[in-house]
Amino acid sequence: MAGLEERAGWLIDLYADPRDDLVVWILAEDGARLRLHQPFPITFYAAGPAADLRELWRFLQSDPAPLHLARGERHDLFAGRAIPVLAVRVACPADLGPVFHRAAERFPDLTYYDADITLSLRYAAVTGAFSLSFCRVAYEPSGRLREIESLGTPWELDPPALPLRILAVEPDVNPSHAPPQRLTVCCGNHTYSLDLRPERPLLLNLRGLLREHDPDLLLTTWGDTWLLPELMRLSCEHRLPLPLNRDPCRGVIRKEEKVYFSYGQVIHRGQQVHLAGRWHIDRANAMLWGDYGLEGIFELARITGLPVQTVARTSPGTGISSMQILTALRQGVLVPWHKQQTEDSRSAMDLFYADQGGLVYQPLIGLHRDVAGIDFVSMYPSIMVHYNISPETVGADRPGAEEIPELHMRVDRSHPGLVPLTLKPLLEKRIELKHRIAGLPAWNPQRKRYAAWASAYKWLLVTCFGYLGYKNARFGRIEAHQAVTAYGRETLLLAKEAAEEQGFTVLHLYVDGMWVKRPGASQVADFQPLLDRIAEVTRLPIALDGVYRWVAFLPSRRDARMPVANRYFGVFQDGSLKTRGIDSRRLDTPPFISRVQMAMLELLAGAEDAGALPAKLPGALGLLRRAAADLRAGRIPVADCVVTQKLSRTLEEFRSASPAARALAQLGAAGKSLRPGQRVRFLYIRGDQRVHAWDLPDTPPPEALDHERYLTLLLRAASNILQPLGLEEAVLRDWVLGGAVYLGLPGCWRLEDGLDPGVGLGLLPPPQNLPLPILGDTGWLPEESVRAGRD
Amino acid sequence: MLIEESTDAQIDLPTGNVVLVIGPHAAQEAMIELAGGLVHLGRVRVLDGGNQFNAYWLARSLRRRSPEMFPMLSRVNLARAFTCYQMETMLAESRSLSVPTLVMDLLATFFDESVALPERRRLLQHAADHLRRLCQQAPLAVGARPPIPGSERGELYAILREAADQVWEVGAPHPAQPAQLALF
Repeated sequence: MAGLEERAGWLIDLYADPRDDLVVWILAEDGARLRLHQPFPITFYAAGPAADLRELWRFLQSDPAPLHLARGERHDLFAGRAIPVLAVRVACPADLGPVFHRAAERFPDLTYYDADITLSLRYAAVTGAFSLSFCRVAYEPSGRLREIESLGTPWELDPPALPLRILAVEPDVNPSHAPPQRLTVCCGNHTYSLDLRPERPLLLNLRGLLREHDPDLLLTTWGDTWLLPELMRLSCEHRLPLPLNRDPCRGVIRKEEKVYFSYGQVIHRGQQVHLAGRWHIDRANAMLWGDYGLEGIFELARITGLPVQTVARTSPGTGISSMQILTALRQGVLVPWHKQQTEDSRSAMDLFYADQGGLVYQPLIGLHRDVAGIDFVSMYPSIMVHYNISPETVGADRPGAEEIPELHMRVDRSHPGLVPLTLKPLLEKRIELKHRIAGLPAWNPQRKRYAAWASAYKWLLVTCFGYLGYKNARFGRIEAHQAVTAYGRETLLLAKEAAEEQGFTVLHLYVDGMWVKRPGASQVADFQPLLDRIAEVTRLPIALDGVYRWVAFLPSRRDARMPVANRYFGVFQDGSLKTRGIDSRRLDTPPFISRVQMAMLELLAGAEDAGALPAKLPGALGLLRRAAADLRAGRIPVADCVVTQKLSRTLEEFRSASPAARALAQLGAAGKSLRPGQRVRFLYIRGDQRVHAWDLPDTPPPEALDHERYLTLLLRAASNILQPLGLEEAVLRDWVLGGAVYLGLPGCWRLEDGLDPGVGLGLLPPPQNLPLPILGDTGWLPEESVRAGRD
Repeated sequence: MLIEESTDAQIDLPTGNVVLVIGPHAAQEAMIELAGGLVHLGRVRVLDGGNQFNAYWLARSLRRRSPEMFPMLSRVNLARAFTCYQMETMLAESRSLSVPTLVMDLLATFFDESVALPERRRLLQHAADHLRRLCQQAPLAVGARPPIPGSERGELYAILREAADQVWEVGAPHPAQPAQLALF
C-alpha cells in the first residue's frame, strides 16, 4: 500500500490507551522496537428480559463514551441456541471497563457476556496475531498500524527465535531473610555489582543501564515483592525518574498480592509489577519457574494468547481458560461474565455412582523385578478429545448420543465440542514434542527447549480436567468433569483386563497408569503386544514409561500391611530413578535429608539386577552413618537443615503451637508477617523454643540444632527406602547409633572399631535380637519375603 | 430451639416457615440426619451450597433406620452450586413443590471474597426471597454456620436470619450417662 512502511517482527506487547486506542509493540527483525497504534473497537453483550434491555439501551445512549448499540442474536453455549442480546460496541478499548461497570451497576440482574476478556485474546481472535507471533505489519509514518498478519501459528514446533535483550537484576540476599546490600546486574556479557547505598548513585547507574541497554525483558529475583517497589520508592524520594517502562507515556502497573484456594490448597501470589513496552518477570513470583523457565513462559504465551507478563504469573488453569475463551470468540460463542449454569438435579443414588474420581488399585507391597510402567498419554485430555466431552455435549440427549459408563447420561459426539476443539491441537503438539525429544541427543540445546515446552504443556493438560469442574471456569460443568473420570475408570479396567488376558500380574493401577509384570518379560519388546492390545481396546494413546529393573511399592507408615497408592521408587533399565511420595519429593524435608535419601537410592540404583541389591546395602548404610555422624558433629551447614512448610492459616487460627505456628509467632514478634499460602522456614533447635524461624535476623550456630530430631527424620527417610529390603527404622537406628556394621551375610556382624570418628563408639556389643536380613543361601527373595496386602 | 448434632429423633419441619439450622460446619451432620428422617416420608430436595452433601453419611443414616437403603437414596434429589451466582440461579429456578427442601451451607458461596460485597448482598437478598417462596408448600430448612459478629460474614448472616422464621441451634450431643448395672 502506498505510503506505508512494512516490516516483519514479533508481537511483544499490546494494551489499551485512552489517546491511541490500542498500542501494539513490535520487535522487528532488524532490531527496531516499534510502538504502533490502531483503532480497536470492542463489543460486549447483555441478555435478559426485553424491557430491561430497552432500559439499558436508553441508559447507555447518554453514556459519555462513544458507543454503538444494536440488537442481535448470539450463540449461548449452555442454552444450546442463539439468544437475543443487546450488543454494546465501545470505540476505545480503554473505555470498556468504565462503560461496563456503569451498566452492570445500574442493571445488575441482566446477564453479561464478553465483558472481561483479556485484550490480547480479543486481538488474537480478530487479527490472528497472538502473543509473540511472528507477523508482517504495515503502518503509516505516524505509527498508525494499518495491517497485521500473523506469519505462523501457535502450533509450530520451530518458530523463528526471538532476539531478546535481557537485563537481569538480583539482590545479594532474599529480602525476607535479611536486608540486601547490593544488586548484581547482568546485561549481555557484562555483570555489574551495585551497592544499594548510597542510593543516588545506584539510581543513576540503573538509569544509565536501562537507557543504554533498552532491555525487552527485565528479569529479576524478588522484583515483584521487593526490588521494583523499592526502586520506585527511591526514585520518588530522590526525584530521579527511573525509565522502567519502555513506553514513557505509561505508568508502571502494580497489582496487589492475593490469597486463594486451588485444589484444596491455599495459594499466595505476591504483589506484581507490570511494565509497558517491555516485560518484567520476577523469577521468585513466576508460576512454575523451576519447571519450565523462560522458554515455557514464552511458549505458554504463544498458545494461550495471554500477555507474557500475565502468563508468567498465572496458573496453568488460567491458561486453559484463556484458550477456551479464544476458541469461543473464534466460534462466535458468548463468553459469560459470571457462569450461572448450575448442576442438573440428580438422585443421591446417581451421585453415589457418578462422583467417584479416578480408579486406584492398591499396589502389591514389596520389591518387584522386571516391571513395566505403562501410562496413558495425557489420559483425561485424550478422553475429552476422543469422547467429545464438553459442557454442551454432555447430557445432550440428541439422536445418536452415546451412553456414558455408570452415569445414566449421554454424550453427543456428532459435532466437536468447545473443549475438545481447544485441546486437540495442544494434545497433538505435546505428543509430537515427546517424539522429537526422544529423537534428540542430550547435548542438543533444542532438547532443553522442547523439554520446557513439554513441561508447560503437561501442566496445561493436567489442569484442563480440573477446570471442567472448577466453579469459576467459564466453560466448566461438573457433569462433564464426572464423565471424564467415568471414562477413565472404564479405560483403566479395560487395560487391566487386557493385561491379565496376556498373563501379566497387575501390581498397581493409579488413575492413568499401571504397573505389570510377567515371568520372562523383561525387555521393552516383551510388553509391546500388551501396549498394542490396550491401544486397540481403549482407542486412546498409551506409552511404555519404561521397564524397571526393580521397583518397590511402599506400605503405610502406620500399618505395614496397608499399601499406599502412588508411593514407590524404582530403577529403569537405563539406571535412571523414578520416585513418588517419598521424603525427597516432599517440600518439608530438609535439603540435606533429601540429598542423603537420593544418594542412597542412586547407590542402590547401581545394582544391575534386584539380585545385586544386597551388595549395595553396605554402601548405602555407610552413607547413612556418615550423614548421621556429620549431623551430630555439626558438619551439616545450618541452611541445609531448614524445614519449609506452607501456611494454610493465620497465626490466630492455629489451635496448637506447632513448629510452623511457633516460627510464625517469632517472625511476627520481629515485625515480619506471612500470609496463608506463603512458606514459613525454620530450624529445629534445642531448648524451650524448639524452633527458630529462618527469616529472623540472627542464625543459630550448628550446635544449637536439635540433632535428635534431625536424626529421627534422617532415619525415617532412610527406612522408607530400605524397608522393602527388610530394614526397619528401629533396626537402622540400632545400626547407626550402635555402631554395628552389616556385612551382607545373615548373622555376621562386626563392630566398627573406631573407623568413623563421627560416631566414635569404640567397642560396643552388637545390637541384640535384630531380625536377620532377608538374604539366604537361596539368594534374593524380596517379593516373597516382604509381600503383604492383597495376597 | 436446641437440637443435638447426631439426633435420631424425627424432627417436624413446619410448612410455611424458613427454618434456619445453625451449627459448626453449617450443621452438616444434622442436615444429613434431617434428610435421612424426611426421606422416609417421601421425596426430598437438597440444594447444596458448600459441597457438603455426603451420600455415604446419608446411606449410613438410612441403614440405621431401614433395610431399604437404595430406594431411599433414590428419593433424594440433589443439586449443587459452587458460586453465589449459581446459588441464586438455582434457588430462582427451583419450583415451589410439595417436597421438603434442605439447603445445605447456603452462605458458603456468599463468603467468596472475589465477588464484591454489595453484589453478594444483592444476590443473597434475592436468595432469601426465593426461600420465602419455596417454603410455602413444603417444609424448608437452611443450614448455616454460626455468625461472627461485626464481620462481613456476620452481615450476610443477618440477611439470612432476617428471612428465617425459626432458628435451630445444633449443640454437641449430651455425654452418655454411665449406665448403672442392675444387680437383679
